[in-house]
Amino acid sequence: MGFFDKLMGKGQPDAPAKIEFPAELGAVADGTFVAMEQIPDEVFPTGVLGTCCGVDPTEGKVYAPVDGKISQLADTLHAVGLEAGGMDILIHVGVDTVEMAGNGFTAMVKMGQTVKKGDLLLTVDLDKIRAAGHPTTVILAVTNSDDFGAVEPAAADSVKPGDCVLKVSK
Amino acid sequence: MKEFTYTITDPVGIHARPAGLLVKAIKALDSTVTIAKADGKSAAGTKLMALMGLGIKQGDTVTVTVEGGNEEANTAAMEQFFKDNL
Repeated sequence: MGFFDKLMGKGQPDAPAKIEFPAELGAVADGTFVAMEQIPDEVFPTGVLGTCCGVDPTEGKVYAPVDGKISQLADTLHAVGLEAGGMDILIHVGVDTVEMAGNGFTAMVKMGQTVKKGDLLLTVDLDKIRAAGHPTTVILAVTNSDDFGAVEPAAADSVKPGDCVLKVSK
Repeated sequence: MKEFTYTITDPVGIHARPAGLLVKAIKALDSTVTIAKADGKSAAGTKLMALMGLGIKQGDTVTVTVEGGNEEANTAAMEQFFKDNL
């Protein structure tokens, strides 16, 4: 967005994206869908972090599941928060990867940035995660699921980035 | 209103898992719980993303405020939670 565009009133980089409900959240990576109950972690399957699902990724690229605004970017770059239409979305790359302190993670976005579904958020060195002994499952959680009528899984097998994996209804 | 301070000992601070457990513990109480950092930033104890957004790390001192409901018991419960998990 150039200064001239701003001057002309074109676009508002900070405007929250409009989301229609029921909303479809896309897969955040290319790979195999993992149901909430099957996520290799003690906490995510319990729903404490909201209704979630995972993708066992085939490549180290993590994409935005929906249009929104980056609400959080952990210093360790293993987790990204996205605010979209009142949904507080958490994308958590791998399990226990907080211990890697950012090694192997590269952020492609900044805090507060507006993103479109499918935008690249992070690149991740999956081999480094494996070498550190952690599962590489990329977890997508609607942390405030309680604020919605239903958050339901919408995939089962292999997924491409952007394929609907969770359906959120008001 | 009651409050206490706690210095985080968990090496990775309040990241996703402890934040999730904390929100769950706080939702079970009949008090409003607020977590504040020394720099003045604070978050409602029921807002997971806001809590994680505080970026609380090992060595940070947080102030936990408990308001309304059974403040005595809930403050004790919170102190225990922080000792056990953070």
